[in-house]
Amino acid sequence: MTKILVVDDEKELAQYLADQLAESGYEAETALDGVEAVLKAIDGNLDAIIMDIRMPKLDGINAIKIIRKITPDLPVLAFTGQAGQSDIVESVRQGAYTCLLKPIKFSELLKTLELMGASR
Amino acid sequence: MIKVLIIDDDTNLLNFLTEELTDAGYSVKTIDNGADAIVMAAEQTFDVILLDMLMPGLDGIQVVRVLRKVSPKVPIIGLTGYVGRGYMSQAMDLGVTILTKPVVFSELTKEIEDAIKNKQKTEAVSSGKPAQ
Repeated sequence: MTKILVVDDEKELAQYLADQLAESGYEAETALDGVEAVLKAIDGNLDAIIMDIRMPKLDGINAIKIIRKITPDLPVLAFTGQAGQSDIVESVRQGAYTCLLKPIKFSELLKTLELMGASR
Repeated sequence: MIKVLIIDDDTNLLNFLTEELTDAGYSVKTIDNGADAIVMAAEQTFDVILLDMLMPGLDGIQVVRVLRKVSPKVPIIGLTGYVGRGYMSQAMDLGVTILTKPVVFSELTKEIEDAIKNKQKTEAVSSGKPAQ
């Protein structure tokens, strides 16, 4: 089963997305900051990561930078609550497939995951 | 010039080591927490990393696990005031040389030189060239 890691410091949102993904036929787990995401990427067994940009400890941009070094082929989809261009441009520059804006439309998320090669 | 990254939340120790290592001819960068350290190690290359194994936030073993992935060949010297047997063996399994605090400067520079020599030997063996 395709395994997705959902990373967001808003625990409820991370869990909501993970539950929705599980209902849609994915295996999903959560991480609450960039450091936890990096450590889970090292442990392996992930097929894709969905990552918030604004997080404490280690933000999404830096987490993507490190994950690209550790597992260059693991697709990462960023998302942000900031409407400006900076998070979008910088996350894609660091190797994110694309950056979605919050609130996330779940149908759009599923479609993007499939485009990224993380099909159910 | 040998490039050293020092990661420690004790700024007094960072200042002391920076001054001493710079005087001894090393190029030194410092960072006071594990999260920023793994970003810096992913962006820049160092010849050796000195790491406080007990810091608030990201713990030393977690930092080592990430460093081993982002800069796999760089020797890591762990600095710690606490030496539990389980912790020591965990660090050593990850290839970390442990030095206990308080740090004796002559011991530290010897460990740095030894670590760099070992790294050069390993690289020479894998590339088939003689070590310098």
